[in-house]
Amino acid sequence: MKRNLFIVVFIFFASVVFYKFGRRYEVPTPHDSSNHNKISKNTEHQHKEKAPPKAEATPLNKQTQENHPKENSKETKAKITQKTPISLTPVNLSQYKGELKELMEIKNDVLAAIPKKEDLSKLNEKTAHVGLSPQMIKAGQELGRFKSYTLRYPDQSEVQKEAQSFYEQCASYNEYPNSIRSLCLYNRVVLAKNKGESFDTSSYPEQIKKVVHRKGM
Amino acid sequence: MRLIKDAKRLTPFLILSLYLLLGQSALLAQQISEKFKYEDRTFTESTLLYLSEISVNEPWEDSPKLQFLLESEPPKEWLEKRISYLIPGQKTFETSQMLPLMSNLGAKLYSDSKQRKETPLYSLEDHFLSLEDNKLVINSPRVGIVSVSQHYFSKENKISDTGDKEADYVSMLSLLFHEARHSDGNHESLGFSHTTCPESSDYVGLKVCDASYNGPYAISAEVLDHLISQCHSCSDVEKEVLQLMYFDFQGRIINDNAMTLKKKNEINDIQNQLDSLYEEKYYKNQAPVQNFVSILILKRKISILETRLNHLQNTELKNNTYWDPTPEYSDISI
Repeated sequence: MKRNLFIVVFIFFASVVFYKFGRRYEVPTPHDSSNHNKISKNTEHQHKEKAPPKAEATPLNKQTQENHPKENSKETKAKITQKTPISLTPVNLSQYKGELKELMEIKNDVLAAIPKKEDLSKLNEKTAHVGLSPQMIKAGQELGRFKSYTLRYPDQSEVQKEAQSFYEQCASYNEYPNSIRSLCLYNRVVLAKNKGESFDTSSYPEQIKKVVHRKGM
Repeated sequence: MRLIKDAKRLTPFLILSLYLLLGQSALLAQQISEKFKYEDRTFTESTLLYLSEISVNEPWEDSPKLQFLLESEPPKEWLEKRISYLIPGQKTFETSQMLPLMSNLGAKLYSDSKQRKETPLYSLEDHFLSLEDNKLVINSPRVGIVSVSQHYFSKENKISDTGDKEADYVSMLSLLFHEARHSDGNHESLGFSHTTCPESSDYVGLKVCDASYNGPYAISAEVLDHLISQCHSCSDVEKEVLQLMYFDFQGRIINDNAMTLKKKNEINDIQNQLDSLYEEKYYKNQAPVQNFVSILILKRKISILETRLNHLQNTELKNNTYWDPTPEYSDISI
């Protein structure tokens, strides 16, 4: 009798503990983990369908923004998360080449997802008071998507060169919000620092340099 | 008899089970309104529990800027002193249809009542049945009522793809620390109110910038910076969004620019007024029937404005970078 009572109470206690805490620390499913290191073929396919991106410094016309499929970023947001650095072997060389190609292709999509200063000025005080606007969150996700490639291949000069020119282009574009330009400048400075080099920021506006400086750069 | 004795031994287990089942919120110092949607309430609770967890597990001492901003107080305690009640945003308190994502209602109520020279009672009976008499005395900005709009919990405002990951807790925490700072201050620094953003800012013309280096945006930026470095489960994408948020907040601390812009605007304003007065005076002087009284009034106005302009042009800008966070308490009787 006593034993049965203990068992019943223990099962109740265990199920309550599992119900409360078990769900908070869910182990990623195999489906999730496969997404961590792989960009889906769907995404690649979508990029192929679009017109080839122009790698020019003044990227963002309205048409490009309209062409940018909404589903694309949503889908990729779920698919790319963390990327651990990869050293190249014959086995993953083709994977690297594929991802380098993707990196070059998404460059303009990322730039197109960034809102302009004038978009932010349309916000009202209440929506701008705390946090980022949904448009800015989306831009941050796109920038993060780009950055994940550079973190994955820290020793590959092709990837790093692409990233350097991308961040310089992004930090120099006057119509982008200062916060975006600061983030790009910060990333550019970090890339240089990782290589043991310094990056000359003197040509960038004071309000952008000041904020990057506050971050300890 | 023996069965009763055994059951007694099991009581702590049963109590703990019921405690876990009924109230995570019992672990929190803040009271979260029952009026929130279930999932929004759970998310808010999880965010605050996350703060409790990281306060225990991760040292905050390695962030001297944050230590300075929080006056060396442990972050969890700092927040608890400034936010006591979390309620859903209500349109009755706002003039326009759009609600802010988060707002420190307590500080706003106090500052309004101070202007009216009264100490109101504020009813929270809709939200917290357990509150004694369901009334709060609004005698300080520290009363700690923060409203969170339902819109804040929508997916488009979340950082992660699912909207309930560590990155989302980090984001919400930084905003709660922001609102908590509005519970501080006295006289000129009361509520650490925001200032209008200058031309160089992303939010030009909006009152969403800070003229002090220890204001709400500075606090939320430093909290973010610290939590990003401690966020072990954040993906690269999520971290980048949080970094962008950090730079956005930092860009809103515009002390130098704000002061310069304020002075420039005032000078422009006075010069424009003077121009129209000079013109008015000129035409009045030309008039065949002169109105002496009106000309005298104009001369007087011009003289006052010229003195103000001179004074302003000769004034050096003083950057008031540090605002006194000591909260004030009204002594007006109810």
